[in-house]
Amino acid sequence: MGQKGNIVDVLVVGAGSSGGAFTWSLSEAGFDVMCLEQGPWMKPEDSPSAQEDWELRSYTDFSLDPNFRKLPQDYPINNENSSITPLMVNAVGGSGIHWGAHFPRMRPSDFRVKSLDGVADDWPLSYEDLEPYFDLNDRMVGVSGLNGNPAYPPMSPRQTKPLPIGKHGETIARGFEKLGWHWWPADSAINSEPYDGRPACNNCGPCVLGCFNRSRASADVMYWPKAIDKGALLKVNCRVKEITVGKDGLADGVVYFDDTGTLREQKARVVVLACNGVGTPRLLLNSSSTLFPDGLANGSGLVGRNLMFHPVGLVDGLFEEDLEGFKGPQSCSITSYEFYETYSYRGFVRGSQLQVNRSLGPLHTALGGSVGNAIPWGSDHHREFSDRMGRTIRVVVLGEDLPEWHNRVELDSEMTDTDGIPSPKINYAENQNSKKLIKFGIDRAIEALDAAGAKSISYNPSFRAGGWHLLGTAKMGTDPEKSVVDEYGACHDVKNLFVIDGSIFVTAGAVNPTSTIQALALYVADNLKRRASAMFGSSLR
Amino acid sequence: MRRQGFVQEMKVVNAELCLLLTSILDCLIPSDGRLPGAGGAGIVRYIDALMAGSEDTKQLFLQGLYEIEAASSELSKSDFGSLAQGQQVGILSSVEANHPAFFALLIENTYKGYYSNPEILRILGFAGMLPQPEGYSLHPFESDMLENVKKRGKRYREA
Repeated sequence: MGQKGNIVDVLVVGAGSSGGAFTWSLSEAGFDVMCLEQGPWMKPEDSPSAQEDWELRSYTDFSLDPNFRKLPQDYPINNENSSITPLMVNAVGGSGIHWGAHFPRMRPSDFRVKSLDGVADDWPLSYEDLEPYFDLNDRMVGVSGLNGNPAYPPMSPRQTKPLPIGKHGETIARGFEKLGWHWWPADSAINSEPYDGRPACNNCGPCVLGCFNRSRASADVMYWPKAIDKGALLKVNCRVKEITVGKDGLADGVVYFDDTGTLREQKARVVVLACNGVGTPRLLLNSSSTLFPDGLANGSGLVGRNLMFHPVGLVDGLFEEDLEGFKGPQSCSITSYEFYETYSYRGFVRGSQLQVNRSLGPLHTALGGSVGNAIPWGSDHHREFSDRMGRTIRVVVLGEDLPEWHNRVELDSEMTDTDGIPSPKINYAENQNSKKLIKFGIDRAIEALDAAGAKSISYNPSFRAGGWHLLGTAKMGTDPEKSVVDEYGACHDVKNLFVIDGSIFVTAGAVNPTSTIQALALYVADNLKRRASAMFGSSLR
Repeated sequence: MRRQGFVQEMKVVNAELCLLLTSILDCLIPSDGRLPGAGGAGIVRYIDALMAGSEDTKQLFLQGLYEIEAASSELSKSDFGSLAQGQQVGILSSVEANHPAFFALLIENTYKGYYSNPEILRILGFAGMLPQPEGYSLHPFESDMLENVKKRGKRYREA
């Protein structure tokens, strides 16, 4: 075993959206917090969006799929048995580096699906319980948007005005209007005006390539500088191998490979996992021991189970007019919640969000985006290209996924990362409810695009490379036999081990999860502060 | 001389393959007077790098290119580049149908090479139109568009 370090109060594994928010909260309260992150710092100014090969880079080292990127900090994922491929970034800021930054909160009904719709489980907390943390996180992030959205209860003031939606957004908004459907400009974690020392977005387009000018509030440019300023220690390029456990059955630290590849030990009074819905169960399962032979904190057998993505259907409408659709942040335009709630006559429960995305650059346009209708080769190629460039509107049908025991993350028997740590293997298939729900959403998106004047419409009913949202694999609940962590984020079986990422989601809602993930992380942090001395003695502040 | 120098920089593609690929690429994305064809835009170099990067890809390409060449000699005892445009299109269509994996990879990488080429992007009007650092200007959101949405009322369920 390598060198021993000093004991820290709180050790956080993972420096993404949840790890950043949590570390800031505890550091600000004076706790001694260390974070280990397997990836590096990425410089916003190195974003490909200022480089000539910018579009090509989204297929290589800036792909969202770690299996394509194959960077030293990435771990390969066996996704052969999954109908959706998990996407993630390993870096300070986590997947926030490639983030579209659409920032809706989960809605009140999302926390009560068992009571309302008789499926899955209710959360052990409510929208109202989380509301103060949504508000706090919004103030930190700086949310652009417009108050008064009838799809939500009244909400604290948005920090900056809505992002511009351009001719592109106005065109599809007119479609929703014709049909009498709800729509509203998106809440976005992107400054529309200068906020918190970061500039306004300049509408460059491909947020997925990293935000060059820091107008998007990923944790690397927002929470982490503040946390470090308050004394948090962030060690990058450090990959945790396993969580270690003392004779008392409590977590007492981790062993990790440092930036030179040397195996080291770090002791801690509290260990906190913020490694996303794939990385967290992977680490727990890789931390089995005599006391915990089936993986750490896995008395329920649910570590890695109930994996949820959001199943996604993509619908692209092509318009006659040049909509300049490549201008403006790609994932943040307008959203419709018209079909979000359950109506039993539709033949499925729960619903979907219709999220309008802006259109694509020249290369993605030529390749037909993700609906697979590439521009034909041959003599019509150039004419078809100019008919399409900037003229497509995409409606993303983002559906609620329901938790299912057999959808899971487990350890692969052969595949490992470069340090020899077993890789995750994903077993996942969309269920009939999801398929019906997406089909229904696609039909509505087609109606909306048609009403907006699209001259042709194409769609992809099951987008495989859409595993942006990794949820449910260390479920929260009050019953230790039916959940992994309690209502405060502490593992039932290991009381000083916490999980704060999307793993603890009980159900998935049908909104992009980062706002809720960060609110939960701040909620867990606040409860830890309150209960710290009772739980761990006065040695922990 | 220039072409020879060009070929010498290649890792997999020799002079013969270079001529064949250039003709194929020009058929996939022909010149329209304003824009050069893909064969003239240096995309051969892109394909060469791709083939050099993976033995599987290289074998798939070599096999596919062989099929195209074989079909050309069968059709008119001449190489692909000497065929009339209609004949070239016919051969590529048949390879597209019979060797879909090769053809899809060929198309994908022809487009990737073409639409990331600075000269092509300049002619298309995207030169100096990198997303950053300039970005784009858009008019502000007009909230009076939402009057009817507000009138239609609440769209969430109490829980």
